[in-house]
Amino acid sequence: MKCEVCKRETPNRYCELHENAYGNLMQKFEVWKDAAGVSWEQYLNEIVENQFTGIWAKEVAEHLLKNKE
Amino acid sequence: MEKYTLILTEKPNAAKRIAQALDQKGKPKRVEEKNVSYFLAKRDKLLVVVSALGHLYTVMHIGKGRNYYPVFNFKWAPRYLAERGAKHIRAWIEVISKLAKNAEEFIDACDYDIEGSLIGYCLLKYACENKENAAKRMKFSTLTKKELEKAYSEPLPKLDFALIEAGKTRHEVDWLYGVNVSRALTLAAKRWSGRYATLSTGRVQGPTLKFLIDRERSIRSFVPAPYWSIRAAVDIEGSAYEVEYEKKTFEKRVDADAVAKACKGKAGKIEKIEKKSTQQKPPIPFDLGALQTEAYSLFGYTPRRTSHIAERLYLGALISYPRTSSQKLPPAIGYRTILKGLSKERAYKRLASGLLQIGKLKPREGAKEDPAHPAVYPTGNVPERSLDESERRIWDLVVRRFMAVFGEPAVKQSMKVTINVNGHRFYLWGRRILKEGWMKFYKPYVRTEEVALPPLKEGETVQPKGILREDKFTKPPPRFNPSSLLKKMEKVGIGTKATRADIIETLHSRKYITEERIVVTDLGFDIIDVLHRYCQGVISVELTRELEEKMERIQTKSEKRENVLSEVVEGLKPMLEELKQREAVIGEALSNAIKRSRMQERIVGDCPTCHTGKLMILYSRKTRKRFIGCTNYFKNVCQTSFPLPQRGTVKPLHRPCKGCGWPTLIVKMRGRRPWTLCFNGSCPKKEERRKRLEMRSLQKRNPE
Repeated sequence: MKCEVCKRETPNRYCELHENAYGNLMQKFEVWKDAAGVSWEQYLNEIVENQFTGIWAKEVAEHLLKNKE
Repeated sequence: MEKYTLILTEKPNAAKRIAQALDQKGKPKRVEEKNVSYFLAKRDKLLVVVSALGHLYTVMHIGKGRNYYPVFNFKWAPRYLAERGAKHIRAWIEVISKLAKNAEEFIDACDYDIEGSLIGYCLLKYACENKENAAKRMKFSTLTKKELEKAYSEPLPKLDFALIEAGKTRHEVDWLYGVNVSRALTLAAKRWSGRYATLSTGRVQGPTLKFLIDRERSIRSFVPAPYWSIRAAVDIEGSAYEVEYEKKTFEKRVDADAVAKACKGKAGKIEKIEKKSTQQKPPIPFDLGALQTEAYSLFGYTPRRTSHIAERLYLGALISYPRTSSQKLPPAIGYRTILKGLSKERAYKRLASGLLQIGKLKPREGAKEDPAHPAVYPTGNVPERSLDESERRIWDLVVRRFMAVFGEPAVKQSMKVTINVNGHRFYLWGRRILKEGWMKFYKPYVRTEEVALPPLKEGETVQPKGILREDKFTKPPPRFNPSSLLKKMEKVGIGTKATRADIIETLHSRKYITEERIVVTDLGFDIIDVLHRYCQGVISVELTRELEEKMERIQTKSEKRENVLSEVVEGLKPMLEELKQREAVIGEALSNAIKRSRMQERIVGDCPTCHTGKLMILYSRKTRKRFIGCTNYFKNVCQTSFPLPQRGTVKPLHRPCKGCGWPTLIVKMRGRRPWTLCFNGSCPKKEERRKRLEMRSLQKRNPE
């Protein structure tokens, strides 16, 4: 199996690096929802645009947006 | 020639200075043989002062060839036999050996630390043929005449063999790790790809890179979270003063909005004015780490640069030995003599004279001690030659810090004004210095900001000026810079004060890291990935620290060199076995990483024509010429290409052109100053330059 984002070999959906970023994305969504009342899609768009988002988190967010997940 | 005492030093400048200090007339005779200088000084007897060039001997593998591992058998040998670029060392060893034959007494005057002791020992043992037990040791912390004369007349009766043993072990352990793991990585990559590339890691390099990778991972996986704050100012006598809301952050936007709404258009009333005075103690003297950190934050000098500058100042007898971890200044260094010396320099005259008025001088000191040297301090000498800007800055910093440690505490007053706006409290802060104390000695390096407030009274009304909600986001952890990385290494106890700065530079030169605010490259990630999977011991901070502690115990004779070495060898064996078994997989991973890294180095920037490809430095197979082309060329999408100069080296600068915003390159040619190249033919800057040149040639032709 290959990582859906970077195509590295991995037994999971994402490689270790992107899996970690994905975990962070999921965790922070709750914070964003409570704080600013954003939807999942709005949240992903905000994350992609944000200057402080790490490159791997941005790649996962873009991938999720592209696949409308 | 009559019999003489042979004095051995670590560096040529130290030899010159020692000879000058010990010669009766201060004018020793300089002799040159095989391009190696030494000095003849006359005192109670003839003294011959000769220097090494740092380490002349090193650890070397017993056996031939470099294409195999593990290698555990080694010997100490001249550097010219072990290293390719060290041929010049031969002449130094030959001259020292010749001088040793006629010497009747030997004195080791190398720097009094682990490296200096080892350098002196190797010279005495190998170049002077087993004179290590007969030699005396000069111990000094400055190269001033007074201290050198004292060190010569009262030498230590023998070398510090425990320190030497610790130094030997450190070099041997580093060699065992470095040569074996680096060979394993390099050979794995070479056998897979057929191409040679030096891949190295070491006992300290590995864990240091691991810190950087851990930080890089946190940064790259970081997801910011929103928070809000209130930004407000008040108008007092026509001037706006920024105030701080009682609650610094809000987790919900609606809460911040509610505050902003409640305060809008409402007047504020001064509820309370509180004044508090605090004392700020003087700073503590510099050890090497603190000097490097301060020089980085004030002047942007890397730790390695500061270390080199400090070394030059030491060799110029302007400051004491800089490779120290002491934060103490014992009275024996002679505070008053130093201050009297400094008062000869116009810039310090007033300050030094002021300190000399104090009855008893007592410095503020830190907790750290170093048995070999005190903290870094000025010798009191004034420069004999003109210092360059960087030397002048570091010297000034050391002098001012030295004076500041004797200063009185500074007294600061802070004023907190509480302003109530419709039930919400805002704070207005004022700060001023009531008594400068030590700060007057440490100017301009004191970091303090005064905020003067106008006279205010409780009950007075003030008008808020714009109360706004501010949208903010949590930030990723900061990137390490050379200074913060050095601090981290110091904190976790890996490396030594002499090697830490060089290790950071090695990581840069191996292309594992890049930029000043350190970014780990793909190659750095892949190296750590391989080591993490197959060779964890090499990147373990705990194991490295344990080893450091054991080596330090050798210094205090509570551990034996043989035990440490055999433990290292036993630890390396299974790791190297694992690396060998997985050579193919490792080789593939590393070769791909090297390939990616080489590609990355040639990428100039985004293609301005197709906007999807990258511009790269390419080589034509047909003409063998280099040019810039778009990566989409191979997909038949974009034909963009630009010519490049064919001579010299060309590297991407990763900085846009100021005229057109296109990517730029740096071109370096022998005998010319490097220049920045914008390859955009219609760059407005080029047009400007063309017009300027035309105008100049017109003016030449028609001078009136």
